[in-house]
Amino acid sequence: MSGNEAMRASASVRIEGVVKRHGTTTVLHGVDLAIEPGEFFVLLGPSGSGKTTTLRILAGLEPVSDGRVFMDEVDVTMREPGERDVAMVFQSYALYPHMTVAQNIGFPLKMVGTPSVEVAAAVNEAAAKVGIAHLLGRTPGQLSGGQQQRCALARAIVRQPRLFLLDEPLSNLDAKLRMETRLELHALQRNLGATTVYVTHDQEEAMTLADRIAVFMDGRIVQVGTPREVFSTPRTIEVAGFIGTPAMNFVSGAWSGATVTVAGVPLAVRASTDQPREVKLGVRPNDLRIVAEGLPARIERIEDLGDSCIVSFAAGESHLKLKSDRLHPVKEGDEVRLAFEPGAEHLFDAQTGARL
Amino acid sequence: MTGRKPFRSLALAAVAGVGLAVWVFPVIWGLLTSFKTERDVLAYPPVWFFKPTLDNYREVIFGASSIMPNLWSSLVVSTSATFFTMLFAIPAAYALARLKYPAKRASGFYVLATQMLPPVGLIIPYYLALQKVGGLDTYSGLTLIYLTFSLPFAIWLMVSYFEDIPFEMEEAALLDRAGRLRTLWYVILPQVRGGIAVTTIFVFLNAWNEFMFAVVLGGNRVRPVTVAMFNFISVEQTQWAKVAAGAMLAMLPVILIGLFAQRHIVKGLTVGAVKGGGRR
Amino acid sequence: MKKRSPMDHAPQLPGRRNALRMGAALGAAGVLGPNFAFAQDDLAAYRSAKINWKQAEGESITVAVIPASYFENLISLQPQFETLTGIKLRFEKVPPGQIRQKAMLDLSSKTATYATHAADPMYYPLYVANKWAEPLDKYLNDASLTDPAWFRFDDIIKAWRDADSVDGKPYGIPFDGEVTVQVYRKDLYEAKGLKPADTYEQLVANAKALNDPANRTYGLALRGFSGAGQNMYIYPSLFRGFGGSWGSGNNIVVNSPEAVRALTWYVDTLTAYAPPAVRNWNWPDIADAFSQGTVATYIDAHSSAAVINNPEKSKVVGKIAYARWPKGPNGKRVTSIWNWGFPINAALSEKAKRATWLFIQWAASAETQARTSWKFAGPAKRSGINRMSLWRSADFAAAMKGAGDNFIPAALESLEHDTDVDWRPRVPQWPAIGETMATAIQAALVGQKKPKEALDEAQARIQQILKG
Repeated sequence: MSGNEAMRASASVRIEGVVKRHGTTTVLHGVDLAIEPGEFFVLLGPSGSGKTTTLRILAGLEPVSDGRVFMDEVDVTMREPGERDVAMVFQSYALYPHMTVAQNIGFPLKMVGTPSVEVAAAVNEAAAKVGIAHLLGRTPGQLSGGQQQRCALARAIVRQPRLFLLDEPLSNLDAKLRMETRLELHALQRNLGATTVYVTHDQEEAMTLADRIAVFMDGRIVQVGTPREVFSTPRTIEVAGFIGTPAMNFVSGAWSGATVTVAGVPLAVRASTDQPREVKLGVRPNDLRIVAEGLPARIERIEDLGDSCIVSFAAGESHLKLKSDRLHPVKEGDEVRLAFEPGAEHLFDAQTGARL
Repeated sequence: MTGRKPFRSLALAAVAGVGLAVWVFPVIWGLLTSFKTERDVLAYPPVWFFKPTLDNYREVIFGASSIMPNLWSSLVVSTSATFFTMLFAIPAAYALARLKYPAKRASGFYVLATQMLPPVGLIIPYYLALQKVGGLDTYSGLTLIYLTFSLPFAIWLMVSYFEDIPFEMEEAALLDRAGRLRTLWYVILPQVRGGIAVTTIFVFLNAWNEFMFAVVLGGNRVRPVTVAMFNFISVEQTQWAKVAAGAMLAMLPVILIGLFAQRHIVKGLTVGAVKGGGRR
Repeated sequence: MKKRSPMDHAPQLPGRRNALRMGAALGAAGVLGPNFAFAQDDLAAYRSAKINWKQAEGESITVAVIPASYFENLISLQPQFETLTGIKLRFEKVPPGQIRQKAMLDLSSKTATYATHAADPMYYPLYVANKWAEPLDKYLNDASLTDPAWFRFDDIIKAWRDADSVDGKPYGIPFDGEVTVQVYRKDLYEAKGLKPADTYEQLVANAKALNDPANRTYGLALRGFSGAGQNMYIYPSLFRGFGGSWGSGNNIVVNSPEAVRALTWYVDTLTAYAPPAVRNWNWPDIADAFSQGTVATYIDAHSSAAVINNPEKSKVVGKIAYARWPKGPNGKRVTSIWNWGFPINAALSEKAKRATWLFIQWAASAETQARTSWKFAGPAKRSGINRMSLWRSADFAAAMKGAGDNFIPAALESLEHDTDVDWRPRVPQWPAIGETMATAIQAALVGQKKPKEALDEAQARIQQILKG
C-alpha cells in the first residue's frame, strides 16, 4: 500500500561496536547485536542501562560516537531517521494533539505523498487492526490512555515498515490493560511479521513477548538469548537477580564436590567440582522447599496471593523467599529448614559474579 | 458545605462584577463622552442622559482634522511590524528552545535585558541611525525600530511555548518522514498556535499604542493615530469629545483583532489538552 | 502604502461648528467673510515690498508647528505663500510636548528636516551656543532679502523680539505670543463690591472673599501642573514680583530668601483658595473650570479668552473682565515673554535659508498677521498677533470686543510695561533647569517638601547642571 512490495519484507538488524558518549560519561560501551528478520527482540534492563539509547540509535534519533549500524547488511549509521524505513512507538506515544486520530495515523503516508484515497484505506485498515476504527474522528485529547497507545501503534504499522521500534509502550497503562495489550501486541507482531525491537524494564513483559532478549547492564549487553535461556541459565549474578519475580535468592557458600556448604549446613547440588571454592548460590523462590533436613530459617512473613503464597525467611544474615501454590501448614515465627532439588541451583563466582 | 456554595459563588460574582466595573468604567465613560457635545462633557454633575450627537465622529472621520489617514498609518506600521516580528521570532524562538548551546540561559537574559532599557535613551541613536539611511518619516524606518523591541519580546514569549512541546513529538515526525521544515510546519507550529496568537496580539498592541518613537521618528507621511490624537489636544484647549471619539475609533481595530485572536487562543488551549506523557 | 496625512491638505479650516461657535465667541460674526475672502492671487499687499519674492523659487521647506488654531490659520494661507514665492511649503504638526525634543534632534544631527519650527524663546541660548540657528540680522539687513520699510521689524513687540535674541542679535522672529493677565468674574466681584487686585495681598483677599468650596466656587486658580511650561510659567512671575533675581551665566541662584517667600506664597495661596486638583492642572483645565463657573479669578495667558468665551462650552460669557498682573511686594509686575518665533536652521543650504527667511518674513508680516487674525475667514481670530500697530488697530479691537471687559487695554499695558526678558533664567542649560525647578515646585505644591527644602535641593542639582 504505502510503497513497493519489496519494502514490506522485514529487515535484519546488526550493530557493531556501538559506543555512545554524552560529554565525559559513556552510556554505551561498545554494543554488538544481531537481530533476525521478523524477530520479536526485546532490549531488557534496568533504567539507565542503555537500552533506550540503543533503540534511539537504531531509529537514527541519536548519532553514535563510534561503531556502525546495518539494516539488511546496508550501513545506515549516517542516515536520517526518515530514510531508514523505521517506525517507532514512543513511551509518551508522541501523538500530534492538534490532529484527529485519522490524521495522526495517516501522517506518515501523507508525508511521502500517498494519494488521500489510499491514505484513508490504509488508515482504516491499521485502525481496525488495533481496534480503534470507531475513534478516527477524535483528537488524542479525547482518548483514554489505552486508546492513545493503540493510536500510536496504528501510526507505526500503517506504513508497513521494515523495522518496528517500541519504547516501553505499555508502561503508561494500568496493570490489567497492560496484560491484555501485551497479548494483542504479540499477536499483531506475529500477524505483521515485521522485525520488532522492544524496550522494557519489565522482565515479565520481556519473557512473554520476546523471541529473544538482550539484557543490558551498565551500558553493556550481558546476555542474549531466548526467554527460557535467560531465565534458566543467567550468565551473571546480576542477570539472575534481575530476571524472575520474586527475585532469585542468593546465599554465600563453599562449593566442594557436589555440595555447597552454607552456614555449616551442606546442601546437595547437581554440579560437582574438584576445586573447592567460595560461591554465591542462587535458588529461585519456586525451587525452594520446606523440608526436614536443610538450612535452618525462621519464617518472617507469609503473603497469601490466593492462588499461591510467598513466604519470607531469615536465615542467618540472609533473607530468602519461597513461592509455592500450596499453602504450607506453617505460621510466622516458625523455625523451619529449607532445601532444593539438586539441579535447581545456580552457582556464581563469588568475586566476578560469572556463572560457573 | 453545599449550603454555603450559593453564597460563595454570589460573593465571587460580586467581586468579579466590581473588578469588571472598575475596568469597564473608563471605556463606558469614553464611549458616552464621544457622543456628547463639548459642553455636556464639562457639565457638573456629570450628565448620564443627554442628547447624543454624532458630530464628534463626523469631525474625526470626515472633518478637517480627520484621523482616518492616521488610522491607516497605524495599521500599516502595526501590521508590518507584527508580520515581520512573527516572521523572525518564530524560527528564532524555536531554535532557542531546541538547540543546546552554551550560554543559552544567558542569551535569554540578554534578549530580555533589551526590554529593560528605557526607550527614551534609545530615541537619539535611533534618530541618528534612521537619518543616516534616510529612514525618518518612512514606514520601513518606523517598522524597523518597532522590530528592535518587539522582536526580543516576541522571541522571549514564544520560547516558552516551544519548550512546552516534547522532543518526542518532533522525533516522531522525523521518523514519519516529515523532515525538519515540514515537522515545523505540520507538527510544531499548529501546537503553538495559541502562543502565536497571544504574541501577535501583544506585538500588535504595543505597536498600535506606541507614541514616543512614532512622534519623533515619524512625520507628515508616517503619523500614527496616537500622534494624531493631538489634533484635538492643542495648547489652547482639549476637545474631550473629539478625543473620545478618536479613541473609540482607535480602539476598534484592537478589539476586532482581540476577538479574532481570542478564538484562536481558546482553540489552541483546548487542543493542547493532551496527556502530557514523558519527557526524557 | 498610502502616504498621506491630514496636514498635507491645505487650506485647513476648523469644522463648521467650530467656526460658528468661535466666531460668536469673539463677537466677530458681523465681519465674517465667506471662506474665499482672499482670492489666491490677491497678493498685492505682499508685492508692494521691494524684494524679489521669487528668488528661491523651486525650493521646498518644511515647517514644524504645534496643533493650535493660530498655526492652523497660518497653514490655511499656505497656497498664497506658494503662489507668491514659488517655494513649496509643507507644515508638520508636532504635539507640544515633543516639538522641542524633535527640533533639537533635527538641529543637533544637522538633518535639516525642518527649515524652521515654532521655537520656545527659552531655547535660543542653547541654539546659539551650539550654532544651530542662524543670526538673523544679516537677513534683516540684506536689501535683496528684506524691505525694511515694508517689514518694519521694530513694529514687532519689543519684549518678544528681545526674548528671541541673544546678546542683542535676533535669532528668531516672533509669530504669535501671549501676555499673562488676570481674568476675573465681574459679576461675582460686583456682588461683593470687589475690585481686581492690584497687589498680591489684594489678590489673596479677593480669593478669600470669593472662595466658597461648598458651592463649588473657588477663589483663585494658577497652573499647578509640573513642567517648565506649567508651574514654571507662573512661578517665575511670582519670584520676580517678590524681588528675586535669577543671576546669569553659571551663577544661577534659585534658593534665595525671595525665592522661598515666593514659593511659600504660591503653595499657601493654592492650598487655601484653589480647587484641590489644581496641582495637576495646566491652563486648559483652569480655563475649563472657569468656563464652568467654578473659579472666580485666574492668572494666565490672554489667549485663554477664546475658551472661556466659547458659547458652546462656557457658562460665563459676558461675565468676564481682565486686569494686569498684580504688583508683587517689590512693586513689580513681571509677566511672561512667551512667544512662538521662527529661527532659521543653520544646517540648511544657502538657497533654503533664503527660502526660509522669505517664509518667516511673510508669516511675521503685518499683512499675514492680519490675515490670520481679524481678516481670517474662519472663526478663530488670532489674539496673539506680534505687532503693536496691530494691537492698537480698530480692526483688532472689533474682532476682540466679545472677549470681555478691558481685554485689549489690560493686555497692551502688560505688553508695554510688565514684560521682562529676564522673566526666567536665559541660559543654554534652561531645558534642564526648567524641569528641575518644575519638579521642585511640584514637590512643594503637593506638600511633599517644604519650599525651602525643595529649592535647596533644586539649587544643588542646578549647580551640577551648570558645572557639567
